[in-house]
Amino acid sequence: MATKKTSPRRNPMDQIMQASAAFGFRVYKSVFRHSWPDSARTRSLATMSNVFLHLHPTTIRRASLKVTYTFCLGGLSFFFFLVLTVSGVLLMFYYVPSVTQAYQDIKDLQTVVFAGQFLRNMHRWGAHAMVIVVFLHMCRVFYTRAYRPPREFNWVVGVLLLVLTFLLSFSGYLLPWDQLSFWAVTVGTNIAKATPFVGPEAQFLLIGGYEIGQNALIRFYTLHVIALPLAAAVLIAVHFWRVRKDGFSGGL
Amino acid sequence: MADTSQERQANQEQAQAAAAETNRRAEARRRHDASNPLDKARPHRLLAVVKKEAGFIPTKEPSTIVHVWPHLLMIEFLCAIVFTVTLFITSAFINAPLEDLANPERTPNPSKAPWYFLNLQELLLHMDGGLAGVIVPTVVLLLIALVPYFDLGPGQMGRWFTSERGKAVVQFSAIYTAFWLFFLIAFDIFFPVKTLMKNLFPDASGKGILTTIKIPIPGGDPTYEPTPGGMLNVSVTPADIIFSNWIIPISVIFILSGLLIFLVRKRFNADRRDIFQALFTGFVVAFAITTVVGTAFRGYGQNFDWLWWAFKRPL
Repeated sequence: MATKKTSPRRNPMDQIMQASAAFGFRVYKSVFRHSWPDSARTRSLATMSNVFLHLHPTTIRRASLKVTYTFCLGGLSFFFFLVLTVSGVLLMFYYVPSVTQAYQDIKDLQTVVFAGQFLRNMHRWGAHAMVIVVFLHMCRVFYTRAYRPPREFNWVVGVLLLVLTFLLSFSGYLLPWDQLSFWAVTVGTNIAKATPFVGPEAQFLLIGGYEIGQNALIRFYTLHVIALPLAAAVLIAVHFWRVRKDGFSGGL
Repeated sequence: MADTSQERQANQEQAQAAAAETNRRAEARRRHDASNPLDKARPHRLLAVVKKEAGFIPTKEPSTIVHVWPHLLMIEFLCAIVFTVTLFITSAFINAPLEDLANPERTPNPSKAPWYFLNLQELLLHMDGGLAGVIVPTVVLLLIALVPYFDLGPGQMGRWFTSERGKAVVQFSAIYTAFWLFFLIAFDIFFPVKTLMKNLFPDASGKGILTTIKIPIPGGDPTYEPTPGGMLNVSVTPADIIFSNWIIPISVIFILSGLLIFLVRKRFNADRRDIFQALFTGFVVAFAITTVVGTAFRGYGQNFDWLWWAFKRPL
């Protein structure tokens, strides 16, 4: 009896601690499937066995890590895409794409909704930042000649993503339905009207009428929140996958 | 006692064997060195042979290859943190603009597109709308997309501007483009090409409006409003407009690009990659300057206005 009492296995507190530690470790293992990445093997597993991280290779040349080579611009483009997706989804909770309600929704967002103004600011400044960062990313890739074979087609995908970035930003511009957005989009879609041969038809297709109104608002909204982001997401996946397959260009 | 004598004997045998082995190795080394005189000059020599466990086994990765975790992920993580904080601070202190409710009856002067299209709006002032708004950007984007299929010359990848010469070419092209662009914008402000052409072709501009002819569309719907009566409206442009809005702008673009190629070839002995760099730099600088001019220096009626930016046009 005496030996049983002093045995740590019989101490209820210890038993609970051991069981919780074992359970915690089992949960951790069920999520990550390897211990903390501090060896070559677990570090490789950390990248390989994670759906998000496996967009990276497991190893990389040290020269490719040089910040003055990439300036993180590609990663930052994706970062802003994510920021805009998250803040955009939150904004959708408060916004109705109707000419009678849209403007008031933005006003409410700025005055009534908790942190609504902050949310809207983040979406707007993030959008401007994304346009700038994507453009700079293109310049970086061009000036380092990172489009060399076999990366030609990924450069083309990148150009398409630049166009999508412009379109995403432009389609979002109309949504607040204030004087600024209304006339900026009027000017913008008038440029489409100048297309040779099919100008008026192109403009009609874009705004669903002869001038900016409810039809244009719902078209721009649908393009902005679902069609263009989906297209961008698909092209981003292709873009990343090809970078992953062809390797990082830096430091050759 | 028998044990100790046996042990002593065994020790002696071992010592003899070790000495014989040492002698054998020294002899083998001498013979080897004699047969291979170059080896005498080697900067290293065998000091000792140790067991595997006692030696230093390098566990560090070779310095040129590192694991993505943590080396790359740490950079990405830090970058994301820095920009999250920056965006939070910006959003906390600078509010997104919101003007009055949209009013189709009240056109603001000037009406401007979003800033990243103001380069096109600036072009619009100097040439035909279709050329500035659709043809030029489409052609430029197509050419940019096609660059990798034509830049097949020698030279390395992964170095900024490819070479020192490339860097010089880029600097030269930037200055060249900036100079010509400011000159062209100023020229069009002080000597408006459209007015000059109107004076050259007084008869054409006398009509005041564009002439329109109608072409029937096969199977056209008479009730479809954009093409009334199933007819396609085709504008016939007067000569002065053709010159000021099409021929002169296109010529300027081609002549200045050609001159840039000629100059970098002559001045820097540029190869194909350098020529692409020169043209791309021309695009980037033109894009930047027209964006800034269109955003900050175009005021009422899109007239040039040195102080327009001071009115704080919202972005």
